[in-house]
Amino acid sequence: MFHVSRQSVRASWPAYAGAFVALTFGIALIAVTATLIGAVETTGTRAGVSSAERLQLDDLSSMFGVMSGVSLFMAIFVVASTFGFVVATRQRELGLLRLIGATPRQVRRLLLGEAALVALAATVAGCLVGTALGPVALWALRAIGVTSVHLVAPPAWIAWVSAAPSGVLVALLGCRRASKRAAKVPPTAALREASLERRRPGVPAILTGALTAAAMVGTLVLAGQLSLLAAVMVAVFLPALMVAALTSLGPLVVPPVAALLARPFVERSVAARLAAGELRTAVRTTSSVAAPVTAIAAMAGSLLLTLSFTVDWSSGQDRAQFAAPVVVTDPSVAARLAADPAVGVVDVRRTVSLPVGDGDTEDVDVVDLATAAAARRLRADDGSLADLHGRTVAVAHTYLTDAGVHLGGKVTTRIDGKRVRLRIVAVVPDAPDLYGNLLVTPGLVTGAPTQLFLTPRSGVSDHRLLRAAQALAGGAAMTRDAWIDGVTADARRANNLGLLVVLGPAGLYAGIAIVNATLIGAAQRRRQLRLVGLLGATPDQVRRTALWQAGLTTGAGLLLGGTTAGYVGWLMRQAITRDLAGHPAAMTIPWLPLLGVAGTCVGLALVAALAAVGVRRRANAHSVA
Amino acid sequence: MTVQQATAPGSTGTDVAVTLDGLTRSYRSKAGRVDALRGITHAFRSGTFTAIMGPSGSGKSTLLQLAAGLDEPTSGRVLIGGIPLGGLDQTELTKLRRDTMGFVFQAYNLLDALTAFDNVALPARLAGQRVDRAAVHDALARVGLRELARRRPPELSGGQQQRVAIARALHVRPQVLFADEPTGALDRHSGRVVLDLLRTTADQGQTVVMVTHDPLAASYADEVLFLADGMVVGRLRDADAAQIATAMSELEQ
Ligand SMILES: Nc1ncnc2c1ncn2[C@@H]1O[C@H](COP(=O)(O)OP(=O)(O)OP(=O)(O)O)[C@@H](O)[C@H]1O
Ligand SMILES: [Mg+2]
Repeated sequence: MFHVSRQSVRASWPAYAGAFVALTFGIALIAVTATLIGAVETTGTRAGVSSAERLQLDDLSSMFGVMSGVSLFMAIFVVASTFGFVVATRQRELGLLRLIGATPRQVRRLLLGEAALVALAATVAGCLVGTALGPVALWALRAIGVTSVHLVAPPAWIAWVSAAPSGVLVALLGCRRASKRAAKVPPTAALREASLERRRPGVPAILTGALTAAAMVGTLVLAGQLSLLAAVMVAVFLPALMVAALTSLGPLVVPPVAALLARPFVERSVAARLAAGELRTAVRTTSSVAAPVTAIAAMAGSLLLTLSFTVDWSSGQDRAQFAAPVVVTDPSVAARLAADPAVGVVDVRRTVSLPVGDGDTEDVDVVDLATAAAARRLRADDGSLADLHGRTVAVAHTYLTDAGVHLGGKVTTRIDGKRVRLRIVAVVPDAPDLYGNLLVTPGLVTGAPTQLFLTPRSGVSDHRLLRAAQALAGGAAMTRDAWIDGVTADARRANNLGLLVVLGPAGLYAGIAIVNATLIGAAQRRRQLRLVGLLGATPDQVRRTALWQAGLTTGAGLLLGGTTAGYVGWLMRQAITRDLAGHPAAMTIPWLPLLGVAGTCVGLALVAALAAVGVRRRANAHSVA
Repeated sequence: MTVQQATAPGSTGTDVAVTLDGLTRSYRSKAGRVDALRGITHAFRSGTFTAIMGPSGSGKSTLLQLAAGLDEPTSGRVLIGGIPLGGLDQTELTKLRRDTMGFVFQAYNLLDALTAFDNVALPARLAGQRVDRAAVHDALARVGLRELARRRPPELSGGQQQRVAIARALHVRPQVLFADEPTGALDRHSGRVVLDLLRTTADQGQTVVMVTHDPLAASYADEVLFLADGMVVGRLRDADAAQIATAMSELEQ
């Protein structure tokens, strides 16, 4: 069968070019990710890396981990859909093979052979591309300010060792379903003129769909009780589940949604009517173009909303806890401020980086209980701050669940090289920018001052306090609201950078998949479209039909992905509102990035559709000449 | 080439190659139920050439597909060389088909990725046999395509493609050869070449079942079976083209 595999790949390489490009980019992504993680490991273990840099590298490392996870997920499902596409468009040929004596197993081996050939070529190309891009990526991370540490690339084989098996695994997983489906093609498929693309979903597809439906209903029922942490978990996993379900049930779900979108236009435009017909018959193309759109819209949308709402939540918490009306970001003027007659309390925020638990580094706040109570409303929800002295620690609410500790339990750390166990004596409200997850008293360690929180002496207005502070600290003194706005803006900027790193590759990949599916789909329907041309459609009508088709398909994908993201956002919102218990919180929807994602998807699909029409017309002109 | 082998060892002229026993086939579709075949019983004897004729939609292609085990009857049985097809699974059926049957259809018979030579050699390769290159070239030569062995189907005319398919079917020397309108796309001359080949095949002891609309093509057969509305409505033996044409036009009234 390998002989036939080789011939098939040679004869119809354009269809495989899609699979090859998809796979190559997947492997290159994994290679780049491996290079980045390797660089973080190599650089981090070097002498002379400070603990703050170590913290930064740890964060970077886990960010890259998430990134490779996301890319791998995208790679598997895009390759699967590409191979599925290749099989679906070769029904007649596979039927003929069966007719003249190929057993189902032989057909399956044929497909696996083709996948192996494509995977081999893609692995080599992907590793080379990945190796070339690795140093570029390291440079880019510094250039766009994700890290200031100079990262050193590890030897190239590290990337190859992790990328090559991943590539083979992805190709095998991707081809598994397609080859199974190929083996089921009946010999009579050879006799049918146009293959009616109708597919009954398999058991795994139905199970995934049922699981997703159950998860939706479950979260909907629990929406009123979901904790913030649980909501974040849902925000991460639900879109992935949704995408998996929509990928396997796509041919059932996408065409009706696209048809629904088409309905208002069908009466008015013949191009739209033709496109709507195509959407319904070329079910495979429709769902293959929509799948990556849905995936990226659901995942990027959910992450964007979740992160934005999380910032809303922390600024809401900050505001709820903030008693001091004025903040000074230059701690050197503390003593002079304390002497000022307008100033009541100067609360100095001091922090120190300590290793906590098994290796993670945490910023620990060293608090003066009296001033912190006045300026930051520091109080114990549980336990007692009166017990906070010596080897004890107070923790914020979310830390309890995040770290899995409890009141009365212990937190292990190292101070001056010695292992110290701190007893948890109090649980305090969350206020992420006023104090961190862990609070200790000055007797234990000394912290470096970072900000000053000022309250007025009684009878002094906030405005006079601000003026007094500005007289001493200049631009470093500002109102509480201005400071929170600044902190929030910083957080959003950091989030956007992080998202770019995490979703950038996946987005690129989805873009490739969109273009790929559009082009293969167009190539497969060449004969049909020539017929439409013979029946009297002008080139312009053909072009507009292609555009309508691309637009409607992408629209359906966006609608499905957007609904998922919207649902996740709504869940987050519920949890946040409950967590803030009555304190108002802004709701910031990141319209610009959201619309950017949607616009890019639509744009890519339209351009690919136009390109396909252009290629076809040139090919026709050529064959006529 | 024209040696009579009708009485080759193990196959007497009265052996039955394909038995159809009370075959019915109904299609269920949104538009309702279609009874494509309504009780067909017939025995195709070894070494005979049978033509199946009938108006469009009378069930000819359906009959061929059932006889070849490509489709399952709604009721009734099909036996190939005494083996009932109903009890076989997909792989067993494929192996039986590979070992005993050949196919030629009106269009799309070839794999575009393979050369004419490779297309002809493929069934043997699938069966795990060594490819006898001389025999493959000989099969191509018999259909007049010795020179075109290295071309791929897109580089061949419709009629040439058809002849490659016939060469493929003949190459494995199947006990039964099924052909659905094999001459539909051919000019008179190529059509005659193909029909002569089928005739020779039957004379050498293989069984040929051919669906056709052309009385002249049907006149090459030993027996003509007339179908209408999914039933056998007439049979003619050793008829010439004029007799067949008359029978057809009576049927179509
Ligand atoms: N898959 C199917 N679903 C529903 N009805 C079908 C299907 N295949 C065939 N039929 C119907 O069964 C009947 C017989 O079809 P068949 O293809 O056997 O006709 P035929 O005699 O070969 O016609 P022609 O000479 O036009 O090829 C027709 O009425 C046809 O519409
Ligand atoms: Mg027919």
